[in-house]
Amino acid sequence: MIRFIGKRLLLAVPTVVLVTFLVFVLMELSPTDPAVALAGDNPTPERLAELRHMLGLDRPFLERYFDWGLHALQGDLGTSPVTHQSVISDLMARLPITASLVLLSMIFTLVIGVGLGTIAALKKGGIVDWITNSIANLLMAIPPFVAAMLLVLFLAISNPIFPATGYATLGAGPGLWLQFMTLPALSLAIIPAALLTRQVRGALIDALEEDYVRTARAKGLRRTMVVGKHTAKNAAIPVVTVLGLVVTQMVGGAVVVESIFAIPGLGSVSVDSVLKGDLVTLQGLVLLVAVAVTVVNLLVDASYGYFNPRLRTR
Amino acid sequence: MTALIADTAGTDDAVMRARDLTVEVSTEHGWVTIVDGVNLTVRRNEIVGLVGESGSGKTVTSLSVMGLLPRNARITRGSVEVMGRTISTLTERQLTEVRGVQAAMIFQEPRRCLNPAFTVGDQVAESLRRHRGWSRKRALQRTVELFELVEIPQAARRVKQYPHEFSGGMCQRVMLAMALACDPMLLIADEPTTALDVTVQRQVLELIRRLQAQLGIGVLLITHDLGVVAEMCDRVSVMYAGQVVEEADADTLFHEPKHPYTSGLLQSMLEPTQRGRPLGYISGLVPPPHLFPATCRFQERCSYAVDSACRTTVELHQVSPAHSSRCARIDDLKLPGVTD
Ligand SMILES: Nc1ncnc2c1ncn2[C@@H]1O[C@H](COP(=O)(O)OP(=O)(O)OP(=O)(O)O)[C@@H](O)[C@H]1O
Ligand SMILES: [Mg+2]
Repeated sequence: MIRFIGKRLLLAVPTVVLVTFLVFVLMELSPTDPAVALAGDNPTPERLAELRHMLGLDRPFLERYFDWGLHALQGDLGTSPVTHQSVISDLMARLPITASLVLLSMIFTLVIGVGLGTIAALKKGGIVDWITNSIANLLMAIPPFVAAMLLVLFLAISNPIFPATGYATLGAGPGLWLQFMTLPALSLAIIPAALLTRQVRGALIDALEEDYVRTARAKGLRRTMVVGKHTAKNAAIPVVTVLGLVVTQMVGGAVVVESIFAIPGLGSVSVDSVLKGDLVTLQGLVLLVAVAVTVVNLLVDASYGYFNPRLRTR
Repeated sequence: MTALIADTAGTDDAVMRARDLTVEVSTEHGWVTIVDGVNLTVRRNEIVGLVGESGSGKTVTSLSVMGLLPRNARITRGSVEVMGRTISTLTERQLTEVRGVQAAMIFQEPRRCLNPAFTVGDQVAESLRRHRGWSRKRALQRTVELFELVEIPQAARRVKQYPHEFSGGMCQRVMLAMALACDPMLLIADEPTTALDVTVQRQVLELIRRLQAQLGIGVLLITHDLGVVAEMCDRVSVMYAGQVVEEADADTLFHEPKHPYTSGLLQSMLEPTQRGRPLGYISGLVPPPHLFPATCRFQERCSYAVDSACRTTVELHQVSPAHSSRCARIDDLKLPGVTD
């Protein structure tokens, strides 16, 4: 198992390097000149040259990339020319906010997806199955920003149960945190939950038809054990695969949702830095996201070994 | 063997008894009868064979005994009793207390019958934990003993392995250990060796016979191989198109078959050279359930069929107290059997 993870980590390194490099190239090609963006209105050519030099833009492209990479390896992502703060400490301060948003979203996704998917699978072909399927199809068509607005409209404005915007840290108490986080997390969870519902339903229906289910019943196990133990572990593999994809998508969704709810997480940072031409922060952000996605994929891969023992001996 | 029948005929040590068992399934042709009026008894200390071609209703019969009929099937007439309890009157929860405890079942393709995600030991121990309420540790200890009982070498090490690390024959031994874990009095084996290599088949069958004798249980052995029946069974029921067409102790059935279908099966077994057709001596195929004729069901394929007698429904006729046949010409036919 450890060897397996080690191998995967090694394989992940080129991916992360490639992603950061591609982003560097894209920024190089981008029509916005960060020096112009920084300089404000009507800058003199001297001022622009000075800014370019300060940003290192006058050096060759590859040299800049390697320089950035070497520093990144030592945990230094540079200083933002806009806020004059260390990028790494800014990102690390905001990471827990986004992480907690994604985490709560995942919990909602899991509870809704596994719950509805299981019910639908057990009632396959019945009216309940049809209803869940229709709901899942409907939810699939609601993008996070629409979901966010609808939720705010009904649960914050018409019925003021939750605050419409704002944020509280977990340190302020889990109750308060939940108050602020529920609506953003729900808006982010809707499409993933619908996806998961379908996936769980399909995987469970397949598993329920396996011969070992008949064996489990023949030895007198109760239905909860048959479904909760024997089919669950086998159905988990396709489900975990989808979960991995969903987490990665949520990072993108967080950008939108954090802006709508004014949550100061990584999503807000990315919007800000794009608008202000803060390439240094943006580059750091890309690295962070690339690493996070890699870690999630690694966890998904590692879980396959747990759910499917046949993979372990190979 | 005949003596054994006579001995047990009076005393009631039946572990399983089907009376007039009739099962229907819902299909695109509506509700169709797939098992029709089956009477079948398995007693302690005996192996009863249930033979017949594919599609004759053997599996459905055995699944009704376990209360494991598929969702689209229902018992419409008759009943099945296991250790005196009528299966169809039990709730699903009560059924879980009969399965594994009073009656256990093993199947074809043992590897697919084990869950690939759990160790074999865990899957056997699970039954003990469920029915005996034992701790994981205690159940696993007993599992090691059960593995020794079914002759799995290096039992203590093997319990920790997964099904994919076992051969087909070993998987069937695991299934046997699982089935016997809570000392059931009835073991149903539905074609337990069909999917195995010939040499492994022998070993598994010998094991089943040894365990049956050692534990004094009743075994219902489903097979379409009369060779297996000859080696294993005390009594035999032959099924054709959802009905029992002949029932006798094994010796009698082999030497003096009273149904043309049985006789044909025997001839096909004896002369494999005839195997150009699916079943050497019997031409044609079993009709699908929705096309079962209202006459003698075998009539279309029977070389002894006559218009007068065979064009009506045929009941089971008694030949002798322990021998019956569903043939209209039971008195005037002399059918070939096994001669030795
Ligand atoms: N759930 C079901 N729905 C519809 N038809 C069924 C169902 N289960 C069984 N049948 C039909 O009932 C008949 C008897 O099936 P069964 O599986 O008992 O045969 P079998 O004697 O065990 O045959 P085999 O030797 O192939 O295992 C077959 O024609 C089969 O197609
Ligand atoms: Mg069968």
